[in-house]
Amino acid sequence: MTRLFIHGIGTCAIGADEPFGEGTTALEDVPIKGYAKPAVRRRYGRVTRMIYIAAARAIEDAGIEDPSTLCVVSATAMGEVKVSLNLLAQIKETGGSPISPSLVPNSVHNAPAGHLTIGLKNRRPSVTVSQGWLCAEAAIAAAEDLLLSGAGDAALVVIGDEADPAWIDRLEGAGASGWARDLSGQRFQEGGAALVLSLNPSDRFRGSLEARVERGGDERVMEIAGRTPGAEVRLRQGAGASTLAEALPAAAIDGPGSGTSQLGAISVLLERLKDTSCGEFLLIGREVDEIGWLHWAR
Amino acid sequence: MNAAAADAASFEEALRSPDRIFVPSARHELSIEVTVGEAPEERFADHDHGELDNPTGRLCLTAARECAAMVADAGTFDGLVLGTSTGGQSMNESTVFSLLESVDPGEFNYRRQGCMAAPTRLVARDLDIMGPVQTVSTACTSSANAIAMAAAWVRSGKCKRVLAGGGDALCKTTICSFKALDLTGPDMCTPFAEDRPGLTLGEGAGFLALEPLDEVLASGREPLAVLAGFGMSSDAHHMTAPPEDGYGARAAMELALADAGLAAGDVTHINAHGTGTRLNDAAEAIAIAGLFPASLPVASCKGLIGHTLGGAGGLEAVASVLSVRSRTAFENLGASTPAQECPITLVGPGGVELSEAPIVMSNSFAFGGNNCSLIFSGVPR
Repeated sequence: MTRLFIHGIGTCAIGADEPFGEGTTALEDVPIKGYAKPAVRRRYGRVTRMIYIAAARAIEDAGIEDPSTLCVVSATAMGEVKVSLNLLAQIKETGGSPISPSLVPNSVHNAPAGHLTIGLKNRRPSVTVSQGWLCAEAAIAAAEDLLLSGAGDAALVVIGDEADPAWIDRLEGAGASGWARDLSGQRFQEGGAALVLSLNPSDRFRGSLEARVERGGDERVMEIAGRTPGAEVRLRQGAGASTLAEALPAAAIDGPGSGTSQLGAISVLLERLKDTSCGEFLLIGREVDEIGWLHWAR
Repeated sequence: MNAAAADAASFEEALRSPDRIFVPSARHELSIEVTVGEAPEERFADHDHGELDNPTGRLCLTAARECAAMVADAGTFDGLVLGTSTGGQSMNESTVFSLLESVDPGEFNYRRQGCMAAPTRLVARDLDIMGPVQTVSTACTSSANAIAMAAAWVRSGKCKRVLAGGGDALCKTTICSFKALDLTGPDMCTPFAEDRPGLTLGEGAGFLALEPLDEVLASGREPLAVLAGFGMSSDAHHMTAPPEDGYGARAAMELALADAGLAAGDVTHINAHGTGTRLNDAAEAIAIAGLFPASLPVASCKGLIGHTLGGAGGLEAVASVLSVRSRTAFENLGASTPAQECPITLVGPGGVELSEAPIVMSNSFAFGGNNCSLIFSGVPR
């Protein structure tokens, strides 16, 4: 395992200082003005805007003057939901043609990363990963892979998802399962988060972390937990890990209301960073057949 | 698994003796007429899970099982990286359409059937892969990037045996989206041709089993080929169009060469992205011409199998391995004379015999300006 050092953090509509959005909150435009022209910005979907705002804040937080030197890892569970639903509604209405071509490039999962690399004039390697509610863990793991491959001196990791309450209500009302608007009390909410990570410390770093998403059962979680004796262990309720509470009876469980379940890992990270008494924690989430974990040390 | 072949052996036969297999799309019940490359419908009698309602999952599982069977004597995989741009979109489409009609959508589990990681979960569970899993979704570079990421896992020691690749099934969203962008032509695609009408969509999946070379050789097994290097880059130019001079594509190729420790003159064949669209083909050809000797044989598989989107990188990696194994550059079906703006040498009918030490580059480029090049070579003696 290779630990990554946290040099910058940025968020949009996530964390205790900001209200959690539910797909209806107007997003501010300020942080992205320096990166892309207004005509270009108008084409961004909601996830792209949230990710962009978070990225701009993380870049500023890290004190990076030239973001074109960063390799980019983006992660989103569902992508631009409203764009995709609009596209499908047009296909349904027209039978396939015409549909608005402007929707198409924003409907792919790597649309936020594409817009970000264009705006940052960044020609470095970029990957987009999507591992359900474990997107944050998957993205940090991918950043480790890219950095070890020499893709850049540092990685900009961005994670984001949007909520469309009307559609989720409609799906749940129709009995479609698995949408997880309410996972044991956690509201399905939206947000964007960004981290600037590198293999080396600097005077700005705020601890180091490692993360993985693995397919495995409870016994595998115990192995992971056993590798970090003494670390505070938290289970991500939003990502289904509350079912592990019996296997790990001493663990605290992150409560509801900490952003989207996809972004729950970043929410917990931000919360623990503020607690100066916390020197290390292991955060575990579970998503269908996979275990995701994130280990942070000050 | 693709429109021309149901397994790797028949894929090689199809590449050697290519035939046009594109058909009018009827499966998707759309009002538009589009020619596509449809893969044969697979059935799985040993499964009764809802995940198999997802056609991308079925395609990926078919190819993944074939790959796993080829290396079954070496044990199980300890990692999976799967690239896809559609994931469970077919399932999402049918659910959303039902709701738009106020019809009961029936059983639908987003996390197992609809999400981007649904095919990954299906393959991992079916092959009982315990260890790191990752779903890469970078549009048409998805499975090429998945192979590159898997190579990084093997190099770093994260895993010993990784299943890597990916796939995409045709769905209404992709058919209508490419039509809306005016990228699909009325006729079959002819990559790099003067009068190329646009791309032909296809579907399929392709996977490779990646292991450390020294350990495979030490175990006495014979690897099919060596993944010598990879390179990834971003255009930072436009969401759906490449820069005219193909600088992003060139950067990915240069990074792959550097990663493999090779010079441009060492490469014996390029399996091009070659979608058959005016802008993509010209940009890629200019990038190739600026880096490689003019006589280097270049071909695209897409005249045979269509553009399989997120599956293209995986399938074309398989085609590249087949080229290395057979020391053959397969025909660029649809055109043997390039357009004026594509200053490259295309592989004509019958293919081209490669040298004793073939080195094949496989290119993949995508929306968002995402680029990935892979380099395959023979096994060092």
